[in-house]
Amino acid sequence: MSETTLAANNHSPILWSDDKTRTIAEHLIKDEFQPSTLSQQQQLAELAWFANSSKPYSGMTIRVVSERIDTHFYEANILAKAFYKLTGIHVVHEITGEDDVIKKLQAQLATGQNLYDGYINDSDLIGFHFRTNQAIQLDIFMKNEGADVTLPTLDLEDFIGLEFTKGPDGHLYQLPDQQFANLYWYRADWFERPDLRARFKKRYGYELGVPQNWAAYEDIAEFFSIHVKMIDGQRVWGHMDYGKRDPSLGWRISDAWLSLAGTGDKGLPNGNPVDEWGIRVEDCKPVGASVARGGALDSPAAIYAVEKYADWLERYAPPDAKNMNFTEAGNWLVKGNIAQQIWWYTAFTAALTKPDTPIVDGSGKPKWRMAPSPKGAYWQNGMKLGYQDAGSWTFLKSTPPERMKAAWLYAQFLVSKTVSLKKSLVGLTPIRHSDIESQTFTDKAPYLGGLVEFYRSRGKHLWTPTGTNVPDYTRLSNYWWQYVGEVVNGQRSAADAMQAMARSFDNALDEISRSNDHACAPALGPIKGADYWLNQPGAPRKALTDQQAPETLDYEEAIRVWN
Amino acid sequence: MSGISEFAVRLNRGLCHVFGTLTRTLLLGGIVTTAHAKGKQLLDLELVSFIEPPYVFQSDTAPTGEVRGLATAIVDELLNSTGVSYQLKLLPPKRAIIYASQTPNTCVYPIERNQEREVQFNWISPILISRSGLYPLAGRPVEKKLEALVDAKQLRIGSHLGSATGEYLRSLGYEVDSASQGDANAYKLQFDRIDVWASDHLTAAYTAQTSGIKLGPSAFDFFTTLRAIGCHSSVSTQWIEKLSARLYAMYKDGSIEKLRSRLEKSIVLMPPIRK
Repeated sequence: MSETTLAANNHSPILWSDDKTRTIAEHLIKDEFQPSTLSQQQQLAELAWFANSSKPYSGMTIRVVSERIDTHFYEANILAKAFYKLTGIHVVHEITGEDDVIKKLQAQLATGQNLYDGYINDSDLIGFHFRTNQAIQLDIFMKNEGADVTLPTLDLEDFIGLEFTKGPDGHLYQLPDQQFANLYWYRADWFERPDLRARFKKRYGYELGVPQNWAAYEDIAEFFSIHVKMIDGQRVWGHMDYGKRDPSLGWRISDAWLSLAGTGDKGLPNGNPVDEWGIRVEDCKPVGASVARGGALDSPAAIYAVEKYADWLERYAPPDAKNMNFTEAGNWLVKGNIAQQIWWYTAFTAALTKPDTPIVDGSGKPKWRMAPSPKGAYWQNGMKLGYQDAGSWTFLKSTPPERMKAAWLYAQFLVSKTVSLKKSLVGLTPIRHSDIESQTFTDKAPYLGGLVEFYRSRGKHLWTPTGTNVPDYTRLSNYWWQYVGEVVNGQRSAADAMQAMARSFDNALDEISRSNDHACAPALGPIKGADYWLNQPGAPRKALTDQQAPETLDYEEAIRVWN
Repeated sequence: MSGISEFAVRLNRGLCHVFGTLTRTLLLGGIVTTAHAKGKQLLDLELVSFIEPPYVFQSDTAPTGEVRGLATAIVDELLNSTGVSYQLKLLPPKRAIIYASQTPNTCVYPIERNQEREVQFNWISPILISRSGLYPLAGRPVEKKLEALVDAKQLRIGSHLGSATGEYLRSLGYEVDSASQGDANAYKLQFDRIDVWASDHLTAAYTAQTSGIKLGPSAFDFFTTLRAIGCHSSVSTQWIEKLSARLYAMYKDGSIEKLRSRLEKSIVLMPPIRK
């Protein structure tokens, strides 16, 4: 070992196994990992730790998989190569559709074959992981067999999303790698135009602004799609969504529509005892999704949500939207012909802030803003405010321990403070308090349309992923796109589809209960009937007869809810 | 190192096991076009497949109509042990997939399962787990070492029509040249029309052996694929779950490993196919 003149924290010397490795680290810090919240000395110390701790695994090739967003492309194309140069561990970082990630994880669990040494798997599966005992409990691993490969400066307290990746048993099952929220998106430049504001007020009787509820959102959608139609010679629409029969259609509905319609109960993170999927839990056991069993999946609020989704897609979105999926629709906004979108994933921020597009001005600032999504008629204060995705490192017990350790080193490298600020700037899916609060993010804020403001607010805790009521995300998520796809295609009414889906959920819960002996495994409750449950407090709630009064706010007022 | 013998040496253990299953199929006389499960028949399926050696092929030496290959052997054992009888016919790849998606009581194998195809079928998956690499011609390695897939951006990549892996690469902006059949890529490599062939390990090894065109080692293993049986939506969920459970049991009780490993050295004994 050789000793560098630089010192970590000005205390302990940094030990390098050879000069070549030190040179590689110095180049990485200079050429790639700037800016950072660490000093260059601290970065060197972290990279020296990775180089030294990886020695037993040098020469190994490991394989990991993640979904298809900018952050993961940066990891696969740049960071995996940097890690290889530094440690000698070759990483094949596959990028594929989110549903493929889940199906591959499921295949490893079902067959026992080690497909991957690590998965970046959404924390939406936390309800599955804590009930099935097949994912490694990282808190235990880090203290015991993984102690020698756990980064001393990992600093778990610095992660903003750790609450999403713990089970009710308190164990940490996943480590966040990237996070993005689901927010309202709109063209601030159009909303500020005096001519459009005057036309809107004349027609609807109130100010054009950030819609606070679905009634206002619908008015604005109608205004741009039906009445304005053309802006600066281009056909424009007041609503964007997607409807292709595809797994991502399911996320569209389960992530947002039902929760903001007001389907679940009050109580964060997901509603208690009925969550935004409409699943009732008693003593941590899912007992049913149908109204007849106390769930809310076929409740008036859920049916209202799906009816609005299908109706607005048909009436206000571009005709092509019905044939688009998550990725295709996400990239559509850059064309500059959409006025607003009720749910928009901030994972697309990087794509929508590129210069020389119709939605970015000449100074590089976006013409659009993100804001809290409007609420549906059944929504009440205290209910979930929105969805957040936390793609998180997940390791399965069926992976050989040495391979898992090498993958754990790579995982920590990707979220280390040496790397994370640069990664956050590239992908704009931050995971650390220190990055979000950095001067770099302050300087960047005017160019990100509200992303920094959101992540500096309480919003980062209030916008939550799918919770622990959902005992088997992979299995149950299939129903969403199947049934809602039939509504989009006109094969079923929303009511019929949600009633059928609720029955399928109940049956699935019953089957899961027979193959899982965990203390929080599902235990289907008795059928007491809709009349009984609709007359109890909370979800499921009776059909409303009152119409929502439309309400809008200006941007500054609208985003106060984050604070 | 170059050439098939060296290439075979570096194949991983799982790949060698795959060859074994192939040989078992050959030795046992292949799979006939109509199979009947032992005992009481509970379900009768129409099965469609397509020629994709070594997963599905018709041997020159077999009686007319016999369909063989690793995937065929696994599917046969799966269905046979679950009380499912079937009639099998071969179609061109795209037609087989479309046919199965539109024809009640029909399943297609061995198709690559992915998000784009997810909604078209009820799935029994995975019957095979394969890794795909970028194969150059032996003696003409890729100039720059590939440390990540992005390093292949400048390469001309060969694939074939209907390949989900080829579509995957194309969707990421890679230059993909699709042939009508997978094995045509070996010839395209020989004539310098592509730099690398995107193929799974077993197909590359098999094609190199049977065509006599030597391939170099994979320049980069870039993707893991689940090969599956895709069934028309009319095939009941109960049967899908029953067959899936049996498939998982075959992994866990070692049946699939046995299928793979029984005669793993056989590929070097296989004669080249005359073109």
